Amino acid sequence: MRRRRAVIRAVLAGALLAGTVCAACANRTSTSEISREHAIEIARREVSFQPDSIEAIRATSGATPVWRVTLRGRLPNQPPGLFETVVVEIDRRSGEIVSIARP
Amino acid sequence: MRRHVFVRLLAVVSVVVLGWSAVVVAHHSWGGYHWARTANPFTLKAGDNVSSVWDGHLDVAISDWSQSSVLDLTEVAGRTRPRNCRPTAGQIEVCSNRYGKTGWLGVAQIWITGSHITQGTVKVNDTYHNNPPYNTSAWRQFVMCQEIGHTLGLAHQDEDFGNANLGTCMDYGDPTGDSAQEHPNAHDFDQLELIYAHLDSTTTVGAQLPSGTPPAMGQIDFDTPGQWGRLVRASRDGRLHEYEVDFGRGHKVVTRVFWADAQ
Repeated sequence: MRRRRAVIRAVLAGALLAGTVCAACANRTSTSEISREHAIEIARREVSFQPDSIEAIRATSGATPVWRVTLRGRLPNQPPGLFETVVVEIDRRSGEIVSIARP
Repeated sequence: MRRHVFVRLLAVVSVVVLGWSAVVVAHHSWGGYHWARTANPFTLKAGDNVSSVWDGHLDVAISDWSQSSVLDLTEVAGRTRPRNCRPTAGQIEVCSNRYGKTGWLGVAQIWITGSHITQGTVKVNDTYHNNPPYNTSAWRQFVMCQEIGHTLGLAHQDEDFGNANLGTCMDYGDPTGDSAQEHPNAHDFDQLELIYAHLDSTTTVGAQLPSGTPPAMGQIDFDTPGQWGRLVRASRDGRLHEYEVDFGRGHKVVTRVFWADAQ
């Protein structure tokens, strides 16, 4: 009888611990990723032109989860068929810029 | 008395003008991004992944930028497929291919940690350079020079195609009949000296994967699920998958994927 109680107590304690850990994980997932809007704001600081279009998608760069923000626009007197495309990859967890591509 | 005041005023104006000249010597750093290194001049490797039509242009660009007092470029065998143009740590990879109607003749990409460049790639786009008006030596040299300049930490000196050329590849302008537009100018070298005037306590130049690591380990395209290897683990809800590519002798690349929607 006493042994059974001890087992039940141990199981309950384990479940409580697991629940706490899961809650912490869930909380971290929901708060650790920067928003799409914040990523776009960071990316816009990297371009000198007024973008005509901005696209932000979730991607990976190497093994790093990133927002891949693509900004397109035209510069003064740019030849037909050419336009500026700047791609900024931003670490979704830290908000740090991982890479930038520019023409 | 009045003359004395005038001379003094002239002196002040001269100092201000001289000071202003010093300030505006260079202004086209790319966001302050630079290769970390502990001494100047430093030598940066450039991987050759270009077709024969571009080889001479790559050689000229490497020679041009090596005129800088703070850095040298040296050409090495390329380590990537031109189509993907994957980076190699501590150096730049230069690639040519038909990348499609992307809107760009060439593109430079740098990976950064803080303000330090850790690796870079240059892609030149044959979709445009195989056809007029961009299928000329002048356009190819101009683009190759400019994109490599970006990987060193330089931005454009000017971005208006319609104004007079500045005589540098870091200026947007038609290089046809203007050979100066195919090479860097003194202003670019001044800017490089400013960017690399300080020294860092660490280096990102030539930083490599640990010795004995198979080079292919650095070439995995993580955007292509087919390159993740075999599935070795999956969570019950299907959201978390773990893949593994085994390169032998204990070298493995493990890719953990947390799917937005269960598979």
